[in-house]
Amino acid sequence: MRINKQSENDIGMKKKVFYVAILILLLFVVFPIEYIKLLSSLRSNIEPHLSLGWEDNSFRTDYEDAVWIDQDFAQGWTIAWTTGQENGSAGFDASAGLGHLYATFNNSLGGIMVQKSLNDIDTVEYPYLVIGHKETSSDPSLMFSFGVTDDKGLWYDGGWHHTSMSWTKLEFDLRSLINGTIRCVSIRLTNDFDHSYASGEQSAYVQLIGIYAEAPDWVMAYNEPINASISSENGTLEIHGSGGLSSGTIVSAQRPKGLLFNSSEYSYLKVSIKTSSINVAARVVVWVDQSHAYAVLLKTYDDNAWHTEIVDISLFGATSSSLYMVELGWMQIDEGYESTVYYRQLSFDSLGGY
Amino acid sequence: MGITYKVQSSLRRILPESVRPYKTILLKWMLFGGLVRVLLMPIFASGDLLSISSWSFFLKVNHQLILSNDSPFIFYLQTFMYTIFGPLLPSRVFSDILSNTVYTPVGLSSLFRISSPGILAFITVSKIPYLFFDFATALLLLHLVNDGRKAVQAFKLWILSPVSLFVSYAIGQYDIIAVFFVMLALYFFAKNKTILAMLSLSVSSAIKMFGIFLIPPMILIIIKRSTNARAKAKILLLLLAIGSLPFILTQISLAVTPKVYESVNAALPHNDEFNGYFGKTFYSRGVPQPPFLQGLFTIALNYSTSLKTYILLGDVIYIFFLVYGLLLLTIIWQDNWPLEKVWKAFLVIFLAYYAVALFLPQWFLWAQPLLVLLVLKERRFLKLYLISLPLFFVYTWYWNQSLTSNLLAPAFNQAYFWPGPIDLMNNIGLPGIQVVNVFRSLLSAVCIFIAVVIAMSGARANLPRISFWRVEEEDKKE
Repeated sequence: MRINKQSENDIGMKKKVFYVAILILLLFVVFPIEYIKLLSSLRSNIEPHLSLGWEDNSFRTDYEDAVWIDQDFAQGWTIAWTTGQENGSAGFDASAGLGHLYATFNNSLGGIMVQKSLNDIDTVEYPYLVIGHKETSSDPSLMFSFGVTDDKGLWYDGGWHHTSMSWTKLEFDLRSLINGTIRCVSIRLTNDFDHSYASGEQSAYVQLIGIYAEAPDWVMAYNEPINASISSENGTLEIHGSGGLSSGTIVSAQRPKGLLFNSSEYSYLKVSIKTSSINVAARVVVWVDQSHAYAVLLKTYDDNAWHTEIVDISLFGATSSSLYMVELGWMQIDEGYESTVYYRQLSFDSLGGY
Repeated sequence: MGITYKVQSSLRRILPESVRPYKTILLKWMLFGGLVRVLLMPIFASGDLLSISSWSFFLKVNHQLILSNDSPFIFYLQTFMYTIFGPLLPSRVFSDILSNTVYTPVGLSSLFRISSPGILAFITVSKIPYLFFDFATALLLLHLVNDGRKAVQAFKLWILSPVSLFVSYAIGQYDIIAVFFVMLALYFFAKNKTILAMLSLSVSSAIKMFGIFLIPPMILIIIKRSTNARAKAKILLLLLAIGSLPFILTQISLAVTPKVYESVNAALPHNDEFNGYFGKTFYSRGVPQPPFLQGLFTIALNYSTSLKTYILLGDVIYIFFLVYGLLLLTIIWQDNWPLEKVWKAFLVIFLAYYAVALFLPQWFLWAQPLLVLLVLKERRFLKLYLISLPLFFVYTWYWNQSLTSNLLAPAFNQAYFWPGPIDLMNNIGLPGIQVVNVFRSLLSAVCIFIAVVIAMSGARANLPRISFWRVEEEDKKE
């Protein structure tokens, strides 16, 4: 009798344990799985996304649509005048694709001007004159410049510019001189800044002179005397610098035009960035006017992969009805010899879909 | 027979003898509490939870750890959860972090994450471990209260704790795990297993740094049990070794896990949001320091009210450390430290901190199981406990929409754009911050009052030990 009761108890206990096991299985396995499955299937009631307001995918860093360009200086150049020179002390020649004008300076006004006739060019349609040049001295008394002559034979002075011993671009909007037709262009090397300048023979080398319809959107700026360049290829902007790069050296590509969008509405700056090393920080600055610049991004990366940055510029107070300038660049963090930062797919977007 | 008996007896052992008559009630409350929690889990999430979840997901996919102010433990735990539930979880939720897309401010990423299909599943899975530690804490409360009826009341009070629900299932912070280990330490202490108590406490501290303040009192209390100086020195060394073990393990785990280079946008102001690498330096809260030390100093010093003595010197008295020092002196002064006095000492530390220092809302959870014990011990504290709750919730308004309306954003995405209570008050002409600060001051008053009452009752119990008062006692007898 006792044995029967004990076996009944055992069966009861087994049943109890079985039910508890089922309960545990339902509670801790079946229910969580089904619950998570259900939650995974639920969809959001909003679809936030960035709507494009303005973009730059080409990053134009060069002058485009040239109406006239000379890169070998082999034909058409004649000496317009020399002053303060003796026989053979001034002249012009072309070799290795470079135009070479030289003059001798002996404590009096001296110099040389060469010129070339062109087919009629309308400066309204083709306003941008570019001269790539360097000189044998950067003495402050030396002057390098250019001039243009209109269809009535009037000559216009392109202003006085100091010389440079490294290759430099003299960029000029001809519309500030003349809104009309030009027929001749001239370049000159003189000591106009100081007529008492006496250094013997000095030369100017010109590698390119051209007149273009389109100016680049992006121009270079830097805060240290280094070798820097900006260029673009396949929609990627490359900002390069080399030489003694010290901490704090900044090189930028600045876009000061064509930013006619409301940055209060399109306040999300989106850009992809790649850096050459951890020693250089990508740097993005937004200018709302000439005197108010906001650094909205300063970041280092430890890889050579692309990183997409989405920055709400309103967080930095950098919003206005239209932006004055956008600056993409880099800042050197640790000393180095060479740094490059790449940018692509720049846009200003608004947040929508909610 | 053998297995079923073993299963049944081990199930029995989970419940202390005193509450076994109430097991049906406990089961009902557990199911009720569980249901409430399971329903809350997918609805709410804070930006912190989304960050922890995304970084854990990154660890799961890329096997790389993103350094942060949080303990690596939570990332390993969540990674484990995502691995277990992996087949059920959508893969596109954290696509931004896997595709090298970064937002400034970081919070902007929340909007895109909360609207990703399947985010509710992720949030829920992230909180499942909290459910386990939450109920384990409730179970420990049953063990820490001797009277069966009162233990059941403690269980119910914990199940209904709005602070616990808010911190674990609305904000989604993992403080409950550290709180569990504090309660486990008390359980071991009650069982006279002091080494395990110490280990449990140090595990708690390794998970959430706040627990580090409990280690010195525990060491002092355990040392007091030894009789001679040699034994005291031996146990001190042992406790220090045990106390530092979880921290050493944490550092080892950090060293062996590949870390990802999470860069910070240095254009941002150097504040609490400034976390990550710039160049080769890791910044925590805008300061180039190892996260461990920086976190500790921020909590212990920067957040504390302080008194400056002479304006031309840097002499500052930190109020929290003043109180903390008094408590340590009390431990040194008094000999007998039973369980009740230990958890009361812990409670006084927490309350003192809440009263005089800036605390993140999730830290308020630390005192909650101890307050439950206090209320059960002395009924008159119930009023104070109930008063503290609304005051605490007003205190959370200081974080404006991020800890109020935004918490609802996973379930109701539009809530991401809803204003917070400070905004609403400002909009109707009330000085929002000042209003919150008034309630915060009242919360400090409640915390100080409870701490003082505990301290005074403790002092009164020990008065006969002091010779000056003994005279008075003897006078009374006469």
